Amino acid sequence: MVPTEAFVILSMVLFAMGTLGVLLRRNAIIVFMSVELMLNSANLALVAFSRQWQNADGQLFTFFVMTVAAAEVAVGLAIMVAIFRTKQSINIDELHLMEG
Amino acid sequence: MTVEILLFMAVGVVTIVTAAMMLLSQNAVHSALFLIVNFIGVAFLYLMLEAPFLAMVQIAVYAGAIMVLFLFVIMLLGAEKTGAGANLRRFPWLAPVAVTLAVSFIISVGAALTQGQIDAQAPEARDAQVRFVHAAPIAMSESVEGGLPANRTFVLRVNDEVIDESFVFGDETEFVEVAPGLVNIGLRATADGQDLVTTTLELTANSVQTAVLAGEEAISFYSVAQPDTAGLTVFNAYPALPALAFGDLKGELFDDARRILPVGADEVAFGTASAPLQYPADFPNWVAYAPGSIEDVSRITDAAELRDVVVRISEFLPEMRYNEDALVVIGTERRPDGSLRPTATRLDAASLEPFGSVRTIGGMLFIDYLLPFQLVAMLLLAAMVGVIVITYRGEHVPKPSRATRRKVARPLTSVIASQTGSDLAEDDAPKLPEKTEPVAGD
Amino acid sequence: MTVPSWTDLNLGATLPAVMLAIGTTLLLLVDVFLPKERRNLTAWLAMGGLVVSFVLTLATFNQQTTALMDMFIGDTFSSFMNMIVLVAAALTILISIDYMNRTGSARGEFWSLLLLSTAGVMFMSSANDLVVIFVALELLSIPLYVMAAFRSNNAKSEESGMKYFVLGAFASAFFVYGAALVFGATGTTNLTEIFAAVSSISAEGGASLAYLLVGAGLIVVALGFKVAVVPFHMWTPDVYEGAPTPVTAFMSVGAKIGGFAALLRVLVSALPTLTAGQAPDPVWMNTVMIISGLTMIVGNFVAVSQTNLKRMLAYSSIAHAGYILMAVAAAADPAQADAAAKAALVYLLSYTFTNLGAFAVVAAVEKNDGTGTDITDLTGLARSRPILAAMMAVFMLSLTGIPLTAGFTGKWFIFQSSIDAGLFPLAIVGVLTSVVSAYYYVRIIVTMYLLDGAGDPAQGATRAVNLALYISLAGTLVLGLFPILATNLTQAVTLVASVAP
Repeated sequence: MVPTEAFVILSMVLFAMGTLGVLLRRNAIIVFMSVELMLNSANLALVAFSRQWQNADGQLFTFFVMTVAAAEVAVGLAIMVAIFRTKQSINIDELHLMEG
Repeated sequence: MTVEILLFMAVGVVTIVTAAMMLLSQNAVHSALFLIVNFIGVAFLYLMLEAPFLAMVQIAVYAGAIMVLFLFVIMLLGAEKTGAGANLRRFPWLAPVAVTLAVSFIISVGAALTQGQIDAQAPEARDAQVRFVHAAPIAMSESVEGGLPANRTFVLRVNDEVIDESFVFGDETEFVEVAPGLVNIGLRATADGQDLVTTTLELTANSVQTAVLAGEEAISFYSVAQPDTAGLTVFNAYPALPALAFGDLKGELFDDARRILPVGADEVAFGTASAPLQYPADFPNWVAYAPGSIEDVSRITDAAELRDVVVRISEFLPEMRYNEDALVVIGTERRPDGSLRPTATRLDAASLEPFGSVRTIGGMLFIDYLLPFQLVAMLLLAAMVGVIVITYRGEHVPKPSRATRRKVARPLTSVIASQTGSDLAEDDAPKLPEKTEPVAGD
Repeated sequence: MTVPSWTDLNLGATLPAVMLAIGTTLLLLVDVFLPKERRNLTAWLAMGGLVVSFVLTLATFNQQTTALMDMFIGDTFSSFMNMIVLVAAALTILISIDYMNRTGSARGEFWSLLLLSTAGVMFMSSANDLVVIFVALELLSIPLYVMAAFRSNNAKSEESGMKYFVLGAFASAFFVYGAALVFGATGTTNLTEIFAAVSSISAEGGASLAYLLVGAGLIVVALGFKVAVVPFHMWTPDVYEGAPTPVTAFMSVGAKIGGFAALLRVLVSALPTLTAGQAPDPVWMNTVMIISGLTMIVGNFVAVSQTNLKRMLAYSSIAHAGYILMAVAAAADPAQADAAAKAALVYLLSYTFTNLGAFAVVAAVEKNDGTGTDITDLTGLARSRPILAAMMAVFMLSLTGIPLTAGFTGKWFIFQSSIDAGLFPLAIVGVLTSVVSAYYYVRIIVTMYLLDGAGDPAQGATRAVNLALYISLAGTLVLGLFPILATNLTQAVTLVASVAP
């Protein structure tokens, strides 16, 4: 059996990569995808711990996270479509109407 | 290094590499595709973690629905090119960092595993599961109900906790979870409060067992463990038969060529269960009989007499498909006049659902997690409403003017004009306008 | 598993939140069939739903039960939080009716989304499980993302919606990972069961303790994003400035209520005994203290240099989150936990009235195209609209914490609880930053009363906005003059788990 710690390390690496993506990439779509990567890595940790504790609570939490992520993606992409109609660009760097 | 660990490392590397490629790619579509591969890798990891349902949901919802939505929006907005290399030039260290992360992951996990540094904690032990079956033809009670003597009822206790208050012949209980170890089982008659059987069973963690109450003179519990392979298990609770054999009964009562063909299975001694038998897909007519009595069978012409000698197993099995589990207990039943006749009971061999199965998750979803379930429903409603509201363009969409409607046929006026030769129609005929701007779409 | 009966589920305790959720669904349906001219009817129906939920909250005020398979707690803490958020939502509806009409973005779904967000806050304050906190957090946030981007074709509004979305999604990913680690350490997501498992883990140490510490830290980070404390406040001013004013008003109050309710429940009910090593204080106390101090300092100092009213209120909102964090830090002391929770509740109530009043004034002076919210636009308001200016003056004084206003009551309780818990440096920082904040709040008053100039008269002071203003003013003054009212209501609040470790 692969030890749970190995899965946790893998999920930590993916989480860190997702965070880097959110902080460093300038394209909004890539930023959204990085957030999805972060949520996915959290799901992986949850399922690994669920197997460790032999408790299906972790898997159910994962189920809810997936559903919520789907709803979030829908709303986020809708906002992006609305912005794109107005500005013809989805570069976050160009969103600087409000400075200070 | 077992195959499992190698597999984990391979999938782990794929996951990390595709995540890195997703972050570094200059084309948004490529990033999305890399992320899809990443999700499929994670789904594979879920399969390794005893979460088959979640693995399929991951592929269907995450990779299948969410990423397709991403791709759709990317293509709709025409956003594949993400700005030629602007970000990489600002952060040239992104690529080496990601590669370092992947390599260090492989090295660290591999080294730790091979040297046993990671103290692999075994998963928590689950309780043992036991169910009870009453197959002992105990003498009927003296009291008479409805003109027939009734079966005696008993109270079944496990570790002094009442499992079944009216345990009668032919009853089977549900699986109960018991802490592993030595377990006291007590059977007490309801009528006179006398203990019929008290015995101790040793239960190990994670085991699944059926305890069959059998015997005519000496009644006791016999435990049948859940077999590892699928198939039909037959338990011999027939006191008069020291051994039980299986055969295929060919031909019916009216058939002169009736005979029993032995099935290639070992004989089952009293109080034991057979190894799992594979019931063939053509549904033969299986029976159980005492070995050495085959010749007598072919001479019997009376159906009742036949029933006394063989026990049909297959009448329980028409709905049994190949590779399904079942446990059939063959014992004797006491007739109202006190004599015995053979009988068989079928039990499903399935225990409480394994951890991670669809049934467990579904049950917990609707019972334990009712509140989050309802909240997620409202959340989805809010998301749907929100999406429509944000992208609704309402009054800003110019309504198509009447002039853009195509004419299907020549107007009547121009027909008249052509007939009469007047040019009146030309001025009145609605003309198709010049090309207008496209109404929608960016 | 056995199917629970209706009495097992104890739905009576969940009535305020559940009725609001059901009412919102009905409202969506009703809104479809209303003709366009009577769009405002949706808003008043939404108000009716809030009133029904408020009455139910009062009816179930002093209970102490769990419901819905131990995932829902109905106690005085949650009832009080429900009260606050219902008041906030009601005031927001009042501000928004005419605002949405005159800025051209009126749509019936706005109020349905607002009610759904309110329901999310209510469930968050009653949550007894990390899963419920997460889903309620999303239920609170997603309608807010949509509402922030509500003004179609307004680039600022859409941009603020986008930034809020990225920020919020980032935060919820942190929350899930933190919850995953806590689950890994304790084997459960139920807060009461986590509490039972924490003390043994703290004693043993090892991998479980590491998971628990990191997990708790990530949860605090995630909730910190939600309530906008330093260093997670980066985009908050942009979001507050770009979103429509009523949405900003609700965001500043509602997200805080939900965030602090969850923070208090997780830290005080579940992790009070999370000590590492021999220190009797839980590990998170120092972290929360530092964050609180930083927030108060940064929020107040940066607000000084703002010229836009909405941005200034955004930074002041950040600073006020710092004050409430003082109460959270004070709650680390088990003897003071209940008093600190009460202080946070009273502060949130006073902050709601005051801040919504201030945003109502902003809505009153804002022009239809969204401009007119600079501080210089308030010049001479005392001459053209004396009552409005007087109300704004009261709200500014309350935000500073001048006696006889609700803000003073709130700050008094907070400072008292932190001093009782021995957090003297933090209290000193709080007092000093309050003095600094006086500069920019009083500057508004000075601009309105003493400066000469022709600021535009307020176009947006319609009847509904005036009603909101009067209610906020009443709340501010009443809480300031009679603090005993708040004390009585919060008397039965207890957060400390009754299960002895």
